[in-house]
Amino acid sequence: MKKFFYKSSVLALMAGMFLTSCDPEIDTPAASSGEADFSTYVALGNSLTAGFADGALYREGQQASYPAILAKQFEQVGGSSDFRQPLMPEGVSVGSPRSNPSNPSIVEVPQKRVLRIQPDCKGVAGLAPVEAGNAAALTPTFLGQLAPTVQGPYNNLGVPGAKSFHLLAPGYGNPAGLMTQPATANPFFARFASSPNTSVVADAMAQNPTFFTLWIGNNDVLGYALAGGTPSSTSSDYPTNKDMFTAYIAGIVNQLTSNGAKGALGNIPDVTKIPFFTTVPYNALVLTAEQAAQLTAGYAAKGLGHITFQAGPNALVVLEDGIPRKATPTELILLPAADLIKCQGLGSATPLPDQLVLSDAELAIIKDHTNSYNASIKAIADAKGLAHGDFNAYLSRLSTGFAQNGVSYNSAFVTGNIFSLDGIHFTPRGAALVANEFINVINTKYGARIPKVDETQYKTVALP
Amino acid sequence: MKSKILALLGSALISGTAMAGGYQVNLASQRQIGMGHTGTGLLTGTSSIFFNPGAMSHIGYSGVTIGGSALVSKIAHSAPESGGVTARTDNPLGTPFQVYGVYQINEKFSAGLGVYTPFGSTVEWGNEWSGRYGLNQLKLQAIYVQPTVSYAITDKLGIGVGLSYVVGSVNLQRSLPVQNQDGTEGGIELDGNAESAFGFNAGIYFQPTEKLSIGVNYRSRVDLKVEGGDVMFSNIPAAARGNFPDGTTFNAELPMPSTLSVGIGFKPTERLTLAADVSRVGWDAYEKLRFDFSQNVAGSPSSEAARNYDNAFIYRIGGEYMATEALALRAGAYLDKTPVQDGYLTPETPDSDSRGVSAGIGYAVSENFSIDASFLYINKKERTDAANLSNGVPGTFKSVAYIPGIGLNFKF
Repeated sequence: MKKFFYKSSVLALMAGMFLTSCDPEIDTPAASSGEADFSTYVALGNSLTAGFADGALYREGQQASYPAILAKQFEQVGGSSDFRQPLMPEGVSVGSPRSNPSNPSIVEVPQKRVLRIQPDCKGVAGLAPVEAGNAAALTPTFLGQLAPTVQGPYNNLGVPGAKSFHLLAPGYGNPAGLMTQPATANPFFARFASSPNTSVVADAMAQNPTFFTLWIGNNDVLGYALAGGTPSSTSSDYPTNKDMFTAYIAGIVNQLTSNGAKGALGNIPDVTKIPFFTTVPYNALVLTAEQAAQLTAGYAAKGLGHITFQAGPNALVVLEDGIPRKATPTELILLPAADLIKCQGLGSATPLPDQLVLSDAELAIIKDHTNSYNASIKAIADAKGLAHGDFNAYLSRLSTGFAQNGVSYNSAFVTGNIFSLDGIHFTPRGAALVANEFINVINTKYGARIPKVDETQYKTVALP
Repeated sequence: MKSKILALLGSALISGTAMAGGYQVNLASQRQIGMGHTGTGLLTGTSSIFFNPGAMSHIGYSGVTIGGSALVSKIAHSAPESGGVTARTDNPLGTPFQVYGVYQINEKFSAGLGVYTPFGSTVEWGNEWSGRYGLNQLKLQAIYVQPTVSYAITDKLGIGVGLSYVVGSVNLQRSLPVQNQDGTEGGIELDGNAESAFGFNAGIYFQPTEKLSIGVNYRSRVDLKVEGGDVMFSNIPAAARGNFPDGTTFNAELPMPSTLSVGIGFKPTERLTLAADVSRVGWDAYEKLRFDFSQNVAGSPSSEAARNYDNAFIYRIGGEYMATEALALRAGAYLDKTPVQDGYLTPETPDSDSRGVSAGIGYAVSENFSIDASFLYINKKERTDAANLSNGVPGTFKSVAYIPGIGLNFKF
């Protein structure tokens, strides 16, 4: 009996040793930088690069910008742990400058959007993205309050609102240029430009980068789309000339690679696949039989007898090039139209204004320019031996939707988990997925093994 | 029928983490665990109730066996291209157990009762890992109570059959991808007891010579059904509460698959027993995991994920050597092929081909009392899967388990 207990206690002891020491291990290939050198990484781009989200630049969005996420992953393959961003002060959010609705001579900046449960214009309580507080007038004093909370030089040089050529423009961050008409500078760059007459590319090159990401060009076509395709071909909001665009990108890339830096270029998503353009259906006008008859009679009386209505969903009435007509299924209605349709009844007796509708012809212009820009970006990436992130294809994938780690992702507003409350910019989760796309193409191009980030650790849209 | 002993056992013991194929837990006898869990073609003592009721009438005595294992299982997960282990389970100790009592009515007849836990799973991943929307934790329990009769047709041939009365329960917890303003995530917990279910366990035992014995055993499929289980939500933001209504209940069904085993025993000498078994587990019964809700959850009246398990084979060998009259030394090994097809891996049972090696000792303290101790080490093949067909969690999984156990045998 003694012998047995001795034996079993030895067995138990052995078992105990096993249990504490023998965790299962998984052999994974070691992280490596491949042919690239990530020691000094700079990110150039627009609002997507800056970490702009929910209609504003603010600290949490910046901390979850795709370059910040990438930098953390690069740390595991020799990247610096000191990736600097021009962080906004805690609790401050600044949207894109706009004219004050009641006094257009005042330029103001809205706060970020948040979701609230509140009554809409019809008194029905619902979930609505609203600005978190009052907009502020864009004054030098206000700009002074937006100074970055960390010192430069900044690795993240993303400037909300920047188009391709802006990255090359000296003085784009000159505070003196903010108040001129038209403004020659951008307040988001003025916040952190190293000197009044520097350019974004110059601030990048001053750091002697070994690796860069460049994702620029969205605004070259987005400005036109956001204006409902109304800008004429001579307007500064008309898409950037295709040949000029090629020259600008080549100019930026030539400088960035002049010291032998490697990098990745991102191409331009089809802007018409983002929620800002896809949330309001073309046939959002839902009518009773009586309303339909009334509207039909109303248009007939104006000599527009071809505009007729029926009970149920109807195509919205839009004013394109001064002529009222029914929207077609392929045309896109911009997100701000949602409130105007609901609250002011636009799109029926009063047509939706031109700037809230992208017609087929306007969509063709957007598509033509996007395709041309993307062909240039691809050609330049190939010629310079740079990685190429096909975000156009990625967004197409998103518009049909996919699931990852048990979460559905698609381009739906609020519920799609990718886009923040402005319907254009990413949630932190969306930025993490973009970072992983960049990692994909960088790994492939340079034979690197940069670990992917766990996207589920980043937030989606927070609900009240 | 829901006897006191059952309630007692059920409350005190948790059945094991799924460490065989799927969520099967093959830990039915301490002696047999030591021998690679062979036993279909052997006289295994009272545990013949489980291994082969046909052999029960040949064991030649009345007796009771009580045994249990301490199941320590660990699973590591590496997310795709993450460059390392990204999550580990923190599974509680599993305690699969077995109680067998056999009464020899006469030379020909014997009757017995077995209580054992052939299926179960307790996996705890926590609520921070990348697969938390798939699973935080799962506790699946099934207890079989099996009254059994066996008849020795001749001194070489025996048959036996038992009726299995099965009770079970399930508790499954997941994170929900809805976030509050402060970043906390919602959660869902499904908790329910299965309706009592019945199955059978039948076997034939044939011993043509002193040295050779053969057995065939079939344990039937049992479907465990939960009706009116509780669905509990936590941390749901006010704006999403309509999607996750309080007071929801669920129905679900989980098959405990059939197992057909053929085993052979061989005694080259008086002291040495060798055994080999092959089992075919009817896993194809597990086609999907479906929950039907009493009210829409996330806009849907049900949630369904494909499983599409394949039937799988288990190959076992084992031996026992009587070092002295009283001391038995045992060893064994097995290969348990996975029923999970590519694309269908899940964090509940991140299964792959499983290799088990075991050792054991038995010691006869007296004519009427003996003790068995066993140790089983299970090592599942590292497996990488996209989990794209099961709504699972992609990545690489690796599981190991350390299972010491002890059993007491009383003869009357």
